[in-house]
Amino acid sequence: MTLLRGTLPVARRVLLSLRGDRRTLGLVVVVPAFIIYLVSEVFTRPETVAHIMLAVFVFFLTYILTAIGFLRERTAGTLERVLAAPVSRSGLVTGYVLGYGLLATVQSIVLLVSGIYFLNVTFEHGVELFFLLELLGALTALGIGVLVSLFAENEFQAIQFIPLVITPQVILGGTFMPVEDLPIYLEYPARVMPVTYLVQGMEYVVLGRGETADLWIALGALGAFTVVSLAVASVVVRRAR
Amino acid sequence: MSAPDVSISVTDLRREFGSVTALDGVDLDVDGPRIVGVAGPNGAGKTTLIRVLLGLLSPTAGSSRVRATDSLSLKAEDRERIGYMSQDEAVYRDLTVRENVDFFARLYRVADRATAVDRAISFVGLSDRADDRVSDLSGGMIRRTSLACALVHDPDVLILDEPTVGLDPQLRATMWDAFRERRDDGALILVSTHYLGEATRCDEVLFLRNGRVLAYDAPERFLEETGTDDLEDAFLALLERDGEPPDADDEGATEGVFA
Repeated sequence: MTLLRGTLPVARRVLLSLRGDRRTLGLVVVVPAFIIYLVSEVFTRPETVAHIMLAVFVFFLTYILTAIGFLRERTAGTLERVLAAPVSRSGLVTGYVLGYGLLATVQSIVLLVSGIYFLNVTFEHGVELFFLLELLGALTALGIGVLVSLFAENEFQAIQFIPLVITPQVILGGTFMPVEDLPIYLEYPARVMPVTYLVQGMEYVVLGRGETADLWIALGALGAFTVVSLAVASVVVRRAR
Repeated sequence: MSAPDVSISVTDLRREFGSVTALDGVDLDVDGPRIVGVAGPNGAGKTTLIRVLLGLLSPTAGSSRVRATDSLSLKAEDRERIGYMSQDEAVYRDLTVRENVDFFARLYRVADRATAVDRAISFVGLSDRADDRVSDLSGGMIRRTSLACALVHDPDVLILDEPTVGLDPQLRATMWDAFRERRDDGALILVSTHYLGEATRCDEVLFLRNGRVLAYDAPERFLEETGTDDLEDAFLALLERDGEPPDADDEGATEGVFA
């Protein structure tokens, strides 16, 4: 109980803050649907890119929201204040996980519905696995977001990290070219990027491409990324410096 | 029920940030309900001292204890009895006043939360703005929201970092009345300020300069000892006695901030 002290108040606060911020809420709910619609209008065979859109969106948005959310906590001094309260660090991080996890779930539903409606996506291996992948991807992004926010002095810099942290993953992670076809010096970096496994998992779940083993590898890798990035996040928010 | 432990004890505390020494061997022992002012110009080490006390910074050397527990190993039970208001805004702008205070009440697991939240909000005189978003409030109101968050769990040890900055004189007077009320109820209040005029309102004042304790005594004793009429002059007299002529920073501070 003491281990997770503060979890529920923090999760509740994260969600209240989002509710108080209408524009962000719009960004979370409306924009993914809008972009999926645009994709459906541009691509003649949108089903070939659908799984990538589904994979990258939640990851990307969770990263932005947590990086900026946590940065604001740091710069406004609320983080320090929460740490002065009877809260455990793991409770604080778990609160974030719950709050943003719920948000990621809502976003996954938006993506799911708009994917089915605009892109005629069918799920070869079931919707449950889709949600599991989305959630693991979001939690990994959450950990990365918290970590990156530590290196950013302001919101502008947190956004500036996108080309460094997110874009290479999207370019190399099997989006444009299968990872195994990359030159060897790019293949290895791609193998340690979460988005690679997110795309690999979605290929299996949405397109039915690859073996069951590929899915297990993807889930295992994302699970490991989640654990590592949340562990790093808990260390990052340590009380005393 | 025995009286709660309200004590703060600091022993030979040092804290360095790279080549800068923010605290240079600070000692302080306070036990029992009273208002202790931590005064000194900007950069004297007031905030560093407060952050070390709360276990938010680890000391380079020496130690600090709050409620007889080392700051770095304060348990949840200890933290429940401590209130903290930082120099930063430290409230959530996207939330209303009530939501902010309620969030901290939940963190501190306040019993009968609704009543406690209402009481804290009315204490800082924001009842009629309770459901306004913080981003719609003036600077002074934001400070008061922050104070309400620090008070909602009725702490025994209250640590306030420049709580009255940016407040108008009337409001400042109200806040000091509030602090005295808390003290009379048995709380120990440590309050930092760079307005020396305010320090006279404390029971005891710790003068910090360049991370060192210049003096620690009751305000009236300072005046007596230095033969001065106000704490500003007393501070300058103490500096001279210390063999250190006030430097340019202090001059600026005395004219501008200490005025």
